[in-house]
Amino acid sequence: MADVLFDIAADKLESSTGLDRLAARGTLRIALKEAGLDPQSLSVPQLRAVFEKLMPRELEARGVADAVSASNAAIDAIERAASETDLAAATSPDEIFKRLGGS
Amino acid sequence: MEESAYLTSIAAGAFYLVASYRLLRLSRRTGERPELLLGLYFAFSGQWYVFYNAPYFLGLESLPPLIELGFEWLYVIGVAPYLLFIRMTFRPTSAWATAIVTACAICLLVGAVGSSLAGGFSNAASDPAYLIEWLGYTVPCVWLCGESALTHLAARKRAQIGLCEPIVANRYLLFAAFGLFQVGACAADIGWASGNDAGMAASSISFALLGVTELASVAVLWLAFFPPRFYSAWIARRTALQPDG
Repeated sequence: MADVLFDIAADKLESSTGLDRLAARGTLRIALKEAGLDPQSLSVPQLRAVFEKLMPRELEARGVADAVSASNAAIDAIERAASETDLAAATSPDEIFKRLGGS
Repeated sequence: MEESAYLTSIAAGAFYLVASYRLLRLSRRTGERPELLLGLYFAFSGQWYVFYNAPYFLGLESLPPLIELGFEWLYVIGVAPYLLFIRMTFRPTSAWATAIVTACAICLLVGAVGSSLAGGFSNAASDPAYLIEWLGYTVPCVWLCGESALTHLAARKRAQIGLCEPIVANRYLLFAAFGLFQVGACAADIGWASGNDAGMAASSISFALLGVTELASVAVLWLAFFPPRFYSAWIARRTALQPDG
């Protein structure tokens, strides 16, 4: 289910930035790796943090104009798509381990 | 040494029952399955630790074979939710994780059926049923250790950008340690069984390894499930002082 979320995120990044498919997927993978996230176990809140904190820098490095706006547009589109496909409720190991300790 | 190992195992079992109670209550509140599965595992293994070891510690005759077999079945059944917890948490969509769960379940079932057909719980390394069952409960511990250690490394990165709470990143490390200590306990188990084969009493090394690994398991689970304030504060302070996590 989370790998579907990765595909959605890459699609939305592609349409929001004008990067081609390969570049959008590669950029997303690099940002996720930098954040210590596994593309196969993503959650929407994690993606939001990546798109807010890391993606603008990655997009700027690839010559995307107004990287912050493009990044915000992409994450908004991802959240809409995820809620339509019921992916927003996907749980990550972090959420499970957080509950286990009662924190 | 022998009594200490039994006492440690009973104490560990009691702690697992307490942890189980807390996890099952949590699952009732959240309606989520991971805590339910882990709670069931600790409930099943806790009862086994307490009731299997108590007669030896009290210096009584060991349990009648049929009752001992019943506890063995409960323990074996309890490993199933443990396997499902690991898969659901770390590899919910992976085909190979499903294969590991299935293979371990088959090993446990074959081992328990083998013991049942032989009329009692086997504790000899030369018995294929024992070895197969041993694999069935040792592999999940290795798996938990590996997955938790890998996730801990990634979680440290996430903690740097505020995507993971430092205490949660640390909890993966504690679970990795728990998995490792349980592998140590399984090693003690097979050392014990090898001694039985040779007609020897269990060695002091096996008892010492069992006692130490069970105590260490309880210590790390206590920090994971019931983190004291000083510990949480120390982890937060350490993370703040070390930007690389």
